[in-house]
Amino acid sequence: MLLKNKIGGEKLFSIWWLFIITIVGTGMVWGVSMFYSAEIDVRNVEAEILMDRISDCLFEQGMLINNLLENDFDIFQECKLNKKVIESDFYFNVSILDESGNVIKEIEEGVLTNTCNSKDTEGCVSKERGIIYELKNEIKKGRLEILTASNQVGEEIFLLK
Amino acid sequence: MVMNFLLRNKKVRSKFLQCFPNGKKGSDMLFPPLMFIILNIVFFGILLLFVVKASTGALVYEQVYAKQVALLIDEAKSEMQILVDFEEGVEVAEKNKKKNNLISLDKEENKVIVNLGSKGGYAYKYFSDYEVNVYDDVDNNLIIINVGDKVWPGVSRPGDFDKEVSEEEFDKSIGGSNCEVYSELISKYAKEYDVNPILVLAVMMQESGCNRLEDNGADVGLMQINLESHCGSKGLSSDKQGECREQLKDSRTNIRVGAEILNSYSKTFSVGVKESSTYKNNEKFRKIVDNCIEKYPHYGNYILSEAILRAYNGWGCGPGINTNYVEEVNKKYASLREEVSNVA
Repeated sequence: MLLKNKIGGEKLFSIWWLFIITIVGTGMVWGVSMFYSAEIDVRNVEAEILMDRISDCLFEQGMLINNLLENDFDIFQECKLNKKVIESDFYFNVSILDESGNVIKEIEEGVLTNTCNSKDTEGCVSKERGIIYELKNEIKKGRLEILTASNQVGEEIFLLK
Repeated sequence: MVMNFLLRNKKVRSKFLQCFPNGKKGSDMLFPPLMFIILNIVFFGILLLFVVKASTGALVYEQVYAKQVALLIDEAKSEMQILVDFEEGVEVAEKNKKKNNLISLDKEENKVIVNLGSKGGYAYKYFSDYEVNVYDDVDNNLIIINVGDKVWPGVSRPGDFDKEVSEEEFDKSIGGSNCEVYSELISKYAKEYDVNPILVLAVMMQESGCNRLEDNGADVGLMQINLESHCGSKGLSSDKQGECREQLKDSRTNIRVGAEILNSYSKTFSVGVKESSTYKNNEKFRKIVDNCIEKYPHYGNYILSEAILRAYNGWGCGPGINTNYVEEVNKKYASLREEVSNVA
């Protein structure tokens, strides 16, 4: 507008140029902000670690620990898990089945959210393995099924200054 | 060739000549395209700068480190120490003029909190129920994670000096002893400097037997603060034999300085003397330590609280130095802990 060469000026500095540059700028700022403020998703890794933690602590020398089948078995204490955190942000289900597939014991803790309504979806891990356990002084074979999930979302902390 | 073709073609020629109106100077003709190019460069430059800033900003690193540390804690087993490379985090924090408390734990909520200079930081939970301590060693660009059992079986191994001691436990440990009179002060300054109060008490028993008038000429008061090393810092006068000595005879000042020293050594020596910044950067100190490790190899094995205690008594090993200081404090600490369980 202030330029002396009207023809060239109108062609180069048109309203369209401003429009395009605004669209491009806004798009890039929005896209980059969205990308870098997005959560880095580690829920799957967390669920796997929880799975390893549980399956490690339930066994001793390859056999299921004896007190697991007792009523007062405290999985939180045995596996060093924080009850408050598990109940708010995690989920696990441990099922012990006998040879014919009947559930002998089931431990379920935490909340299963919509993100984990089927096995092996995002944030969920499942595992199955054969086990040997002792029941009423008898060594038996069975199966252990574990499903773990993480629903955790981190939080940005804002301090009021 | 091209110019010839352009000028021969009438339509093209007239269009071409429109770009060079009669009477316009060359500079006038060049100005619009030049401005156009410059403005475009400036615009895309600003965008590029924004992208770079966003990708290296504190918030991204805060989230990465908080999650990394939380996952490592979840995976760790008792009696483990984990060192995490924190170089990039320290760089980001320095850019944001933040120098300390870059990483901390909210033990009530089991949260790792990383703050590298954004408004408040980023928090992520860990599910492990071990006793965990995390702190940053900015000098060595490290995050140090110590994992131990909440109820420890003995005190012969490092990591046993759990920082979390309840007031009730502390009262039980000090009750009935001649140190009881200092209970409030120990509790106050242990809390202020994030040190285990029973550890402060054990050091005090070892150093002075809780006698505030203990003075061997070089070390003064309850915590036997060394005049040579500490006068002139930690709020103490630099007049070693005069005002500083007098200040240290005051129980309040003495315990405060003792707790502050333990806290400061925990930041420097927890990783073990050979990994400490002092060892790496101070040749004179390195020679002394190397010489002592040669004579007393157990000096080199101290990490965590044992290394802090060794530092408290000095890393030297010459005549008059108690080379079993750590083990002796360990014993005192163990009996104090035993007191807690007996009373319970």
